[in-house]
Amino acid sequence: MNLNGSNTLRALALLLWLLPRPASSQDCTGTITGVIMDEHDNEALAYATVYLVQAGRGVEADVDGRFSIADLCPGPVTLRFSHIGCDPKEVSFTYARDTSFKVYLHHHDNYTETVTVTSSGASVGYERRLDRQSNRQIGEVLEQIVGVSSLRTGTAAAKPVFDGLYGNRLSIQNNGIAQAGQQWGNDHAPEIDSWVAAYVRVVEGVDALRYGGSTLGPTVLVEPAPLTPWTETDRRLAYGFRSNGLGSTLNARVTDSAFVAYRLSGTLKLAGDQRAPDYYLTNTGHREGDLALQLAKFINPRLTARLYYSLFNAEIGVLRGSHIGNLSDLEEAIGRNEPFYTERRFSYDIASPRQRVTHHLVKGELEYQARPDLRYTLRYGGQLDNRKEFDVRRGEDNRPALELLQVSHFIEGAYHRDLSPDQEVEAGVQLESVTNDNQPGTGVLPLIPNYNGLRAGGYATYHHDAAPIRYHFGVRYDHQNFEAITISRDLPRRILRYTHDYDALGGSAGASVKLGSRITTEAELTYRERAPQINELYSQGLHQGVSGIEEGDSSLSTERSTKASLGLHYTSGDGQFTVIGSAFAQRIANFINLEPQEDFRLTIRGAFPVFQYRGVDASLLGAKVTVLAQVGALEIDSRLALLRGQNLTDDLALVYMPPTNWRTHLTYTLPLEYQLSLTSLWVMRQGGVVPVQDFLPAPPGYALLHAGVSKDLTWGKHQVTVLLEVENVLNQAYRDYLDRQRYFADAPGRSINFRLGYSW
Amino acid sequence: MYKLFPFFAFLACTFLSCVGADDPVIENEEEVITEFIYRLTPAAGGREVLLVFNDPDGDGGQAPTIQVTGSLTPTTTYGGVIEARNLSDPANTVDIAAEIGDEADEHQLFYLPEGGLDVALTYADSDRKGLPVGLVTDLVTRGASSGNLRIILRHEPAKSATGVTISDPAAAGGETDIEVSFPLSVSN
Repeated sequence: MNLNGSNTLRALALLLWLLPRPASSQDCTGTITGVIMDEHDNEALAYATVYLVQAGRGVEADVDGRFSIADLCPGPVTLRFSHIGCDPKEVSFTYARDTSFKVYLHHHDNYTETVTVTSSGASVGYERRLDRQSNRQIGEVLEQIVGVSSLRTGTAAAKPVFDGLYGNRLSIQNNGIAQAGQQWGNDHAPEIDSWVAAYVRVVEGVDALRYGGSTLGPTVLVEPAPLTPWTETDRRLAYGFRSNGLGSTLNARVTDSAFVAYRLSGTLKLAGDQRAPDYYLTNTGHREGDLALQLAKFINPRLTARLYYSLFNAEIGVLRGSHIGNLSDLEEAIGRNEPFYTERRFSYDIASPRQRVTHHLVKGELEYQARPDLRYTLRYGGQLDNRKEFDVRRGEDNRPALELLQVSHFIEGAYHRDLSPDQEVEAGVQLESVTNDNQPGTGVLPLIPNYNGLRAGGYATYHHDAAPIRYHFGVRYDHQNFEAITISRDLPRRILRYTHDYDALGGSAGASVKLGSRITTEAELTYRERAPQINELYSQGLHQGVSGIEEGDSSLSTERSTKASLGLHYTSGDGQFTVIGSAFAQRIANFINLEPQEDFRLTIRGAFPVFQYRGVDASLLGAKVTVLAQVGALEIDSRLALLRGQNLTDDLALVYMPPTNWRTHLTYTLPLEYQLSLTSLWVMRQGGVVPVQDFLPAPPGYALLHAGVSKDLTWGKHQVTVLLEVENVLNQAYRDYLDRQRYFADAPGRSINFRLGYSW
Repeated sequence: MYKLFPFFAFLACTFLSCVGADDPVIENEEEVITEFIYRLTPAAGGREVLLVFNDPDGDGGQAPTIQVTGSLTPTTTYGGVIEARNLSDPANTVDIAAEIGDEADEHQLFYLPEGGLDVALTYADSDRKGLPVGLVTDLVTRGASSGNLRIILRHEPAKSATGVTISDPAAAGGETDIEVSFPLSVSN
């Protein structure tokens, strides 16, 4: 391949080398050749599809990522590149002479990754699509991945649920480091700024084995765009306004290279009380200020050093009417037309109950490419998480009822070796320490004791990537040590220390078979173990939001899960129609389930139900279908997810399992580059849960409609994006089963959003 | 790469030394109520009746005890006074009833005769705005009866909400700080 001269198409993160050759003008005998590379590690991507839009034909790249399109006529050319597990990319230029290319695709790990954020929207790059959502919480952004729903606490927190797993069963990697916060809390959202995230996805099976954190298999990856030697200067400024809550979001990002390649991002958010269709959701304001700095130094062709720092800082109001004292308060709150304490007027004020969270993350990485086929990586991640929760209480308002300070350190040494162009081995060792301390002065005995955690783990995976049959497998082992420092509940109060050690084993194997050029099938079998976490072992106290006393059980043992999944991927010959279907069955032994006990406990505030953690046998069954299609100027992206969770020991449905949901996103490009979009979301009723499992039956299903129009204006290097969208167009009043505030209030109603972005 | 191994080892050591936390501070649970008493004194003099809730170690630990000293006399007016204390720290006992009195406009007590108990209650105190508090009450017995008297303390209730009476807090909302049910009888 000839790579001379250079011409770059920046917005697509694509490098294009043009080779001047005598043009074969006016006759259709031209040729475009090229190679498709993985943006991350600069390795060739095998068997990607290249589709020539004008001529309506496509070719497939070979094992080395090379492709060649012959018989081209001079004139405009649009090429669409797609690859399983990659963001598709589109490149347009005027073809005049034989051309050779190098295309960098953002590839999502390895081939059998069963879930990805494939988007049909080649016309709007994935990263920019995510940028437009920077006024949302990261959990809401993740909902667009098929199989992901959000476990919410009203407007205050949204945390991802994937295939029925959340919290301690679904780890979140913030730029490659397991997010270490207070993940156990259902009302604790991931402390990540959505503006920093360029890519969000979920991996499982073999691809998830390398990631630490508490998980029963899958891992959510939230990543900024990588800095590479070919990263270009980019400056972005965006302002977003939301009518519901009169919210403003200001985002800024600078990417440049000086002594080092760097990217600096910042976000400011301010929002007041949101509004359900019929009333204000009093005290649901939100304030946030985030910062992230990404540095990369390409010391020499072999050695790269990277540094990343991020700060997340938020003060979040919790619906005043959802703060209750006991069961009779809850009964009175349920069934009201509007929540208690609903104010007639909008306000930016945030009073108790509220949360204040500060999260720092520092990541350092040293990558050493010893040989073209051999790479070592040394990684450090340090995190500091400070969470304060303020309750409505007698006396001063400015004293938290819960304050936790968590400091964690993580180091990893990783090894990556290409045994041949088709085979690679990856292995690593990890060490992680966590110190979690209750801060004194709350005047309340802590719900979660102080604890120290130490985890040592290792993993090894093997990938064999020679079509038509590709396979991979891997193992992982972790040893988890906990020291819990608890305070006795009887008098006199004493400090009691307990030590626990757990072993957790994981293994996964998967294969994918290409049946012809259009159909790929895949299968994966994963076994994972998960050590119980501190809340499951030792939580003790009243959970005000759910009006129950929660008690850990220190005798719990590890969860053991076996998950089998099957997938089918079909892409039409012209690349304009893709169907991805998958189904899974997961069986979990000793599934740690929070269950109501028969006895009530008498306290000064009345009698409370007692919830205890207990190991049961559980099963999860699910299926997902994604359809991506391009019909002329219309793009269709439709995703359906079904799930059943069952506690087999008691023959009861598992609680907090997402009901069937179906999301369809239509994008229509009008003349003059106006883009219309329409999104519908159908959520069915969660019918599996019986009355004894909840204070209220599951709410009815609902349908929401969102609509938007956007326009990009470009002159030279300058680009202005204007976006106008309406969320919940019909101002539908609804309550979501996965929202823990559905007892008290409707979800927010219509919001008209405006966003103005400028990049240069 | 091998040059990095000492560095790696150094990191690992620093890392392990971070572990090992001090003992936590045992919080002084200032808001806990370990003793709650409704003291009923006959207006015309006579034997007091005490309704006592006791939970020395607060929530959890040992279960609380509920005791009532004797029974009420029929067709008698009693003056009722609430006493609430936090005795968890003997060196620093807290008069919770006084704290409630200091924040009277944010608190209201409710008295619900239940299960056939035939008594009528009225508020005998008020906050700055002239709205009831319920630390001081009057209780009038009628004929012989028995049942329960449920006493509820609400924090930040809507005192003026429609339908709110001394025996009906439903429309008042607020958080329940105290809810205790005492068995009580009226007999000769």
